Amino acid sequence: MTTHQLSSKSFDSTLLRSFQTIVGERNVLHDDVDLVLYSYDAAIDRAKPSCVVFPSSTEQISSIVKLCHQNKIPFVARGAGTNLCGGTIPLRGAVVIAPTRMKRLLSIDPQKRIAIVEPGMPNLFLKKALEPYGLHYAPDPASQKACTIGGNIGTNAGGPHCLKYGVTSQHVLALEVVLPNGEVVNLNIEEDGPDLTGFMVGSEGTLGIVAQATLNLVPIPKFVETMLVSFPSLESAIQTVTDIISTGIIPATLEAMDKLTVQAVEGFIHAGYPTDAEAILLIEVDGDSDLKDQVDAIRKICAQNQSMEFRLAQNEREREKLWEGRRGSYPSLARLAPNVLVEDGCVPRNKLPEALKKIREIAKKHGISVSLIFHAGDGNLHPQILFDERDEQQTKVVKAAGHEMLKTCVDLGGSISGEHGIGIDKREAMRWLFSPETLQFFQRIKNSLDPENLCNPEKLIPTVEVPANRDEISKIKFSQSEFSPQSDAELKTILQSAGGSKKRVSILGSGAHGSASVADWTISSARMNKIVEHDVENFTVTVQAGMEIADLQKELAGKNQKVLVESKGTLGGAIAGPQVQLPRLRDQILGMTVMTADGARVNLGGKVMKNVAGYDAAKLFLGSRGTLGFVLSATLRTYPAHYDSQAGSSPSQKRPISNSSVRIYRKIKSTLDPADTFAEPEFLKA
Amino acid sequence: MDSSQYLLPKYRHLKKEYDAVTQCNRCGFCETVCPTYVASGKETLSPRGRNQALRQILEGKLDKPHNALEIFTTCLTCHACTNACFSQVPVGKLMAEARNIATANDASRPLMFAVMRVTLKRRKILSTLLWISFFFKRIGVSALLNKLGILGLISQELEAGDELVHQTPWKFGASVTPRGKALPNAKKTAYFSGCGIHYLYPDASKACAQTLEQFSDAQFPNHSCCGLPAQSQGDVEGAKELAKKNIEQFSKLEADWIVVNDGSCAGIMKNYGELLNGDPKAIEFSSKIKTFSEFLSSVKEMGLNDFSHHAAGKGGQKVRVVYHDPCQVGNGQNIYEPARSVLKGNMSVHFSEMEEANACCGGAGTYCVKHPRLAEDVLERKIENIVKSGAEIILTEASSCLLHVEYGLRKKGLGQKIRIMHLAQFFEK
Repeated sequence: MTTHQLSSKSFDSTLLRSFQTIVGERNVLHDDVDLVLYSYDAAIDRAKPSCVVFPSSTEQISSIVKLCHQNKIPFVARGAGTNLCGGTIPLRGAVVIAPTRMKRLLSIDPQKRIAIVEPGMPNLFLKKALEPYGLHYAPDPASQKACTIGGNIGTNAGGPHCLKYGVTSQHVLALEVVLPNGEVVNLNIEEDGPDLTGFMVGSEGTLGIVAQATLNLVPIPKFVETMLVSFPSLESAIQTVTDIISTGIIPATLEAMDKLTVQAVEGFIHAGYPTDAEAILLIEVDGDSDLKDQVDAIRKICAQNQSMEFRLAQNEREREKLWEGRRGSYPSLARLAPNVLVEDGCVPRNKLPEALKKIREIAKKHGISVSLIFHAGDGNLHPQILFDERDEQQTKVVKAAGHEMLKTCVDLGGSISGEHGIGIDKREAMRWLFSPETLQFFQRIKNSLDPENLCNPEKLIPTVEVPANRDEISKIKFSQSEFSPQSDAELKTILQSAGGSKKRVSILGSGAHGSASVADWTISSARMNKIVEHDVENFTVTVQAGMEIADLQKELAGKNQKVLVESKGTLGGAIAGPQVQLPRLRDQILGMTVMTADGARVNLGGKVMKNVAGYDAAKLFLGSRGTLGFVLSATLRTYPAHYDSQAGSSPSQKRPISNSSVRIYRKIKSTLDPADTFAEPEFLKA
Repeated sequence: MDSSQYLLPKYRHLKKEYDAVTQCNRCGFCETVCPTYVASGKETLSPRGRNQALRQILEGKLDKPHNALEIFTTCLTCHACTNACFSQVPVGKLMAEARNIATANDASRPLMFAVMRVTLKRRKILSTLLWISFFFKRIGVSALLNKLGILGLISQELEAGDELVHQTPWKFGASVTPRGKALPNAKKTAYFSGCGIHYLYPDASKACAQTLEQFSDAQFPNHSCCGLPAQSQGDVEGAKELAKKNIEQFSKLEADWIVVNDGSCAGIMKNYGELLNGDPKAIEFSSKIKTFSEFLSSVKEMGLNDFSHHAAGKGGQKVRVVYHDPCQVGNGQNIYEPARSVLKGNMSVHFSEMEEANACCGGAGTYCVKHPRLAEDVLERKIENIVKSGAEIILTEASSCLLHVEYGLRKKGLGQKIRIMHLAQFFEK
């Protein structure tokens, strides 16, 4: 157990009194014993705050943050403290701001299917409040009973049903955020310009504190069918998952458990799971019409993959029993030891068997036993390891083994976190996933919004040393003004030269209409127009930004797949232009590679379905009009060609960007592109 | 692994408690079922927080246990968290030792424990003391002092108590009219009347006693307190002494069942075996304990359904009834069905479930006197659920629920519209 020391900076009584004036005396905790109870969350690390403040309104959060900001005191937002990555541990003796009293459901609009909630509302309370309307809020993390919506937004929480319905960021429509300087801003995904709403989701409270959220609601499906299927090997179970998705059926959940987990569950809950199988799948489909065809199709696929037993829940009671087994997978272990480490890796779906094999090898090497549950449809896996934190040696071994498992996921093209977050626990592991350039990119964004590093400090992004002489900065002088680079290296030279000679650049194909006229140079992405990788089994495609979407669709059709992107212009144009298509392009993009004005190549996201490592900065480039960087390529979800959905233009008009969003954008712009190399359209200048 | 190596030497005797509390892995799932956490949003008022504070003390990481007293005393011991906990950490039960540790060096404690042990053991003394104070309340002394603000000055607990206690009976306990006819195959029962019902609700006590007489071969012995007040004050030894005394007294009666009219007492008495570390006599005693609802349910076929003069609601409709589970019966013992089976079987009432029927009302013995603000925050939600249910009568079987919910209804001006009563009173002839 790491215990972080309280910073030596004294916490003076004047400040305490100021907090008490803001929220009332009863709503500030400062006794030592009380602070001890705010030194932990559900992970291992601990650090004591200097005080805990319970605001009851946005204004109070803002006043508290302003006070912290003026006095250079770090602060951390904390909801229910259920996260598994040490994300809410108050390092540097931070002030804990706990909006747990702000738990009202402010409004429900059943017609528009939106709800406005305060951040302290527990996820489950929201679910209950929505039931009478026949609606639900889709993200259902395992800690749903206790965790708050604010915390869900901070970690971009997932859950079993995210396979079909998407993770938290797909369901957050608007946010009221208190920025690290105390300023209150309102962000909305309907606003033109960069997708700041999506960017805030998953930033783990390092860029501000959510004070209010507008959430997308989904109708509770009329029909649900739940199946439990057992397999003689993990490979056959995973092949089944791939085959199901290939048919165009997207189940609501596709959960898998290995033999060890099933045995532990059966020893505790007696859900009637078969204990002799190597793997089991819990498959649930839902919809508003009869699901018999889907069930039959799934049954057939399972049989083709040597399934042993196929059990279809016949009624609500049987369905509940099957879910009880899945929900019991953690409890059945938790009761056996004082601590359970739940790791959270993500790999391309088809790599799951290999990941499992390697994870078992790692466990064996360290002499520990590991059981596995997966959100198999997403490629998200949770190795669970029992330990006792009092045994320091054992704790060390378990932590090391956990990290090795994550490294395995990275090596297989995956990520170090699918849904739990990075926090303090996996901060160092970020280095395996991201290049120094990318980490530095994150650092710069953080600095632009929180220059004093007060907002949940020392989390998420590891410190990066700037390489002394990274590359020789290109000194080439160009005489032409129109460019069409073919490689990253070529683009880098052009950008650096533009920076050196103070030229304004406009990217063609970026939808940057209007900025070309004020630019000295234009760079076209037309020659960067290849498919980098089409992972057919994983249902992803990585494409260079200059590729015409129509051409991409043609290529994909050859493999019986497609993307849900409107066939207009280039991919880069679709990304950087106004976001008008439905389904939203933001929900189709899994990863992105961009080049910033200084020529740094930044890799964001990846090709896994769920990924919460680092800022979701790809969102910044959506609607950005090519002003923050040059999009090199993006990774998109693909679908079977016959999948029943096409992209089209949304009938709703974009809202103009608000002044406060422009201010945030400008801060980010000035740090990523200090020389103003990328020319801007009028509406982003303000 | 031997966990005692991590325990402070002076707490070695608490290894059982320590092992239980270390099973809390801080997942936080208990928080949203904890009434005090839900009301406050504070970790310091949550089961996880209480576990962690106790663990830190036992491991010697918090050097002033007294500072954690508030964290421990604010627990309602309603056991809702234990039922939500994967490892079933018995937070409510652990609080007895936790409070004991936290008050170990309090100067006032020896006197308080001594007074409690004397009065709880000897009902005559308690009766005399309560009679005098009820007398003062009746003639308006407390109201006057309250008006002048003096009561609060003497003790805030007195002030809160004065507001809570509405009825001040002249006569305590119950008298029984003999059944007068033989009952074939009747169970031999012994009646245990908890202090709360004995002193504050003699009518309920009478109804219980009469029902017992009606449907069994009942004995009505004199007895002491069940020990719950001592336990919740942290006087674990005092509680054990009372348990032993009760076991001794009741074992002479050779009853099949010991029927307890107050669910809170029944809860601890069903746990005497555990309290006395598995003493066989205690285990046997505990196995005979029946809550009043358990008793009713077992005799419901004997004509219970025929009589309830309360069974007429508004406009000749069936009276709308809900049941509130006392924590020590529902959450604590997992006994939910008996009361419901009696009510559902009664054709003359309209029984429905209110939301969160098994959630604590905030009464919790003397809790509502010691932490009135918090107790009222907890009560607020209970009253909301009652109102939502549309009930005319709330039934329950514990004196602190009767007292606290009644107070809540009165305060909201609902006292005339909605009544709360003991199950036995509802079925009284």
